[in-house]
Amino acid sequence: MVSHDIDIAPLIAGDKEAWDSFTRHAAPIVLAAARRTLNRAGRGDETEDVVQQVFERLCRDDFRLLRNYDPGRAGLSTWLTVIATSTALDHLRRLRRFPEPQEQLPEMVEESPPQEDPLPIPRNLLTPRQAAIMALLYEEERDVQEVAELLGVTPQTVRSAHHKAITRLRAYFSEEFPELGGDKSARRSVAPRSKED
Amino acid sequence: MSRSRWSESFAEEKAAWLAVAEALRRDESAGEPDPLLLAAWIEGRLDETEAAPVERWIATDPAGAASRIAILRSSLAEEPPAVPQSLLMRLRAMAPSKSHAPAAGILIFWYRLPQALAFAAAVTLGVFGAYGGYELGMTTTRVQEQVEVAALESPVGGFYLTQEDFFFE
Repeated sequence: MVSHDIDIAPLIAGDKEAWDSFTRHAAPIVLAAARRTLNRAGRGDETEDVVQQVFERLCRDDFRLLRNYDPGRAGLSTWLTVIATSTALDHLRRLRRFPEPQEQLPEMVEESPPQEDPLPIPRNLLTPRQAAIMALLYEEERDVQEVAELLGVTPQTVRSAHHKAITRLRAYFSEEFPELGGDKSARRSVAPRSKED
Repeated sequence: MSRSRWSESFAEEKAAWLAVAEALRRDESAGEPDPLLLAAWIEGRLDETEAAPVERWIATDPAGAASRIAILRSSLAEEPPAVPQSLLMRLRAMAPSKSHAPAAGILIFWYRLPQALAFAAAVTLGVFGAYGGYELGMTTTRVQEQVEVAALESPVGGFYLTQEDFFFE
């Protein structure tokens, strides 16, 4: 962990000793996050390149990124981990851009559903937290415990938010689309209605 | 609840959510949140209102966000690995060569003092030289004028021309 006593000010001022101390403390954090991200894609051997890219990003434009860091908002270790994973993902995206086989494109086009008018659903129907929980439960098909761990909340919070979201969805669909039969309305939503409906 | 009843309910709820998700993704493109915001969220420092951009990102890209968050949490939980010395040396060498604000300024001035003094001396000499030349020119002109006036006014060899001589000639 990078201790909170690392002073960013001399680093930004260009103090060589401060830079050496920073690299000594930050490199293991950055290395861990970059390696974990790249290992998932089977590109662990590129970890050192990505670590170097992270430090280049930190120095770029007169330490612009480091200047934006606010120790009052988040710990330096956590922030560096976020920067490292983001840099590793960017690296993977860049690599993917080239070897991606072109023959996959027609398949993707075939799978996409025809463009029809979607249901008019208000943006604020669910709170962002409820929406995040619903996405993880129904799209990612994760269980309550996994969702709780991922979001850093208790399983009870997940259950409660899920219950409220479902209640709200049922109420909305039965009120707005009574012809669809209350909670059965969900079935209707799979086949988007046309303008004449 | 029987297994089939539960699956039916799950399918209905999933379909309802997908309709909402489609609308959400159509209306807004919640991109990846700012690194500092995401770091604060990971540390549980945000209230529900502040966390909204992060949760919106999860709702619009659950697969990408979940994978990213899982990596973040596991990386933070792991013991930091040893960094190869060669990599550490490379990172140290990346230190931008930037001068220390006031101290370096004074130092640079001290090292360049002889050049600064030579420049100042050259400028001073130039100014004095130009002024001296101007003064010399002016004095010479004045002396020459006085000589000419004196030559006109003095009677030389009994020949004296008054002002009237010029007019009535």
